Amino acid sequence: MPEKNAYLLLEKIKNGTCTAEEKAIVESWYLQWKQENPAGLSEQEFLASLQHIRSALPQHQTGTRRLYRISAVAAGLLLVFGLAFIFLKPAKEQDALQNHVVADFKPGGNKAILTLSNGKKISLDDQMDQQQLSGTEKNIIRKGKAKGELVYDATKENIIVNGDNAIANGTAGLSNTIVTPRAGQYKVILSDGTQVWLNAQSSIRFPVVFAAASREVEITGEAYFEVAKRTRTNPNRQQERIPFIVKTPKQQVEVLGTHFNINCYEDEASTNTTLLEGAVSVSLLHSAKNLNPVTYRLRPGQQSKLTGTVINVATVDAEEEVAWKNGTISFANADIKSIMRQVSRWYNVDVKYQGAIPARTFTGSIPRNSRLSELLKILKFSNINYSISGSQLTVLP
Amino acid sequence: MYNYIGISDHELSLLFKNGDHHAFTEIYNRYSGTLLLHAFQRLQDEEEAKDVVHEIFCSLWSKREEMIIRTNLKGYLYTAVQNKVIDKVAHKKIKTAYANSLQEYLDKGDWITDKSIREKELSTLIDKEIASLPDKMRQVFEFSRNNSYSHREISNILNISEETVKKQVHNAIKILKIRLASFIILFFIFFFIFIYH
Repeated sequence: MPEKNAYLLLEKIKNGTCTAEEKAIVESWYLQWKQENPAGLSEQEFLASLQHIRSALPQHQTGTRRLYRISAVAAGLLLVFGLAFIFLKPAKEQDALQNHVVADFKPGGNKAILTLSNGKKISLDDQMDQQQLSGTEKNIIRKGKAKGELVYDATKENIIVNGDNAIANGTAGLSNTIVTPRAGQYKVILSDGTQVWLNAQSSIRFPVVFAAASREVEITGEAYFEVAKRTRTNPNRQQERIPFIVKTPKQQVEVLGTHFNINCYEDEASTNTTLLEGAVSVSLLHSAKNLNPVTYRLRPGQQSKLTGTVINVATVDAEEEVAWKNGTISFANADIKSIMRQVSRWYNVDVKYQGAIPARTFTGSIPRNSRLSELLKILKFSNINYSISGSQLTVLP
Repeated sequence: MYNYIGISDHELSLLFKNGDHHAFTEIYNRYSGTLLLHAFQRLQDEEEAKDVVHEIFCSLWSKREEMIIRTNLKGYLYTAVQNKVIDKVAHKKIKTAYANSLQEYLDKGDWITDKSIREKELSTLIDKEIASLPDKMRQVFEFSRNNSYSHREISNILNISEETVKKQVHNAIKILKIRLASFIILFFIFFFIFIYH
């Protein structure tokens, strides 16, 4: 039976849960629905609107035929010199030059620096070069199935996480660090099976193999965690869960096995911890002065915001908070400065502001693999203008 | 230079599916005005109507490769504008007027089950809206489809001074000049590397 209540039917449309029959009913209604005393667009509003839409389209051309002609001449000139260049110069330089010219606008990719326990630094991109590994970790680290993924596999050498083999193996107490630059991201699967996605300009420090009774990592920037549940047999021969602790410069989060995101960039006003699944406890960093600080337990869909030394908990759109991990740049009611902070990290551009900064907020999303110019076009649609020189983006009023 | 003004919608959509940028521009020139006027007529909100048209053309461009235009270009775009408008209505905070009208229709209990008949009626409906535009709006509408009017013609249609039109065109040229400047810089980069080797 189709829905007979107009409000409920509209709700179904909104949620995209209409049946084919209900869709047919609404479309039929649409054909005979008339606005009472509709207003018309003025001629100027009409043309201005079209111009506005056109300027924000992904593929557009502006101006009159005369402008086409000027740009045709320019393109022709460029073609002549471009061809001369291609034919007279070795190909390698040509690539280098092109990269130089367009690099500022490309989105980020899989890039990170891995520091081994012996201090050796290894540059990571889509693939890791296994040959570069050295030290005790050599047999533990391997590249993952997906691009931009690193796996710490302690089972390969029969090193069991909650056994004493780590000591025998010489990995006890050794830590590695992965740092992503601006416009970089990386994923690491830790020795306990916990998956960590690192956003741009972030870092994680973690034991090569976790110790038997505790698991502890340190991060900066932004990371999304899917913590694996681990148990051990305690001295009383009872099974107990091994906690997983994430420390940031200002707070610590204790979890048992769950999915959550931490954003603790220094240039953001607060450290935000968002829980998607399971349960976590958030508290200020434990210290000598503050041995037992107040802890806040989050439920799925909740976010804690640490500002200064105060923690506030609120319900948020959790999917939105981890959109970055799923390959989307997403903002809901975000002001221009917070959008630009994301832009700056992901596209490796410096952002400056000229004149008054618009106080409006914006909602929208775009795939993370889009070029910067595509994102800027969308913002331009909301009357945010900008200019670019080198790697400097200036937001104009 | 290209001239797609005379070609049929069918040829246009074939060219477009092959990734032809000019075909996209021509589709935009042909249909954006119609879609905008229709969306505004239904939504009575300029921003929302703009959103609708913008979204239609964005998704048209991004989906061009996998796009199978079932019936024809016009039918496809008209159905798209209908769906987007209905979606906007469903998302409106205050939808009493819409809901009342829909409720009345639901209470009557009959509707058009055949999809192709609904599509045909939608097409007739939107074409009729354009045909019944007031004279001046009609001129502006034609202008929007064919961007080759002179300053004087535009100023006559819009009833604004030729000066204002010139100023607007001047602004557009200024933007282009900035782009030209970057071309020239690029040219010098090429040139110097050429000399140094």
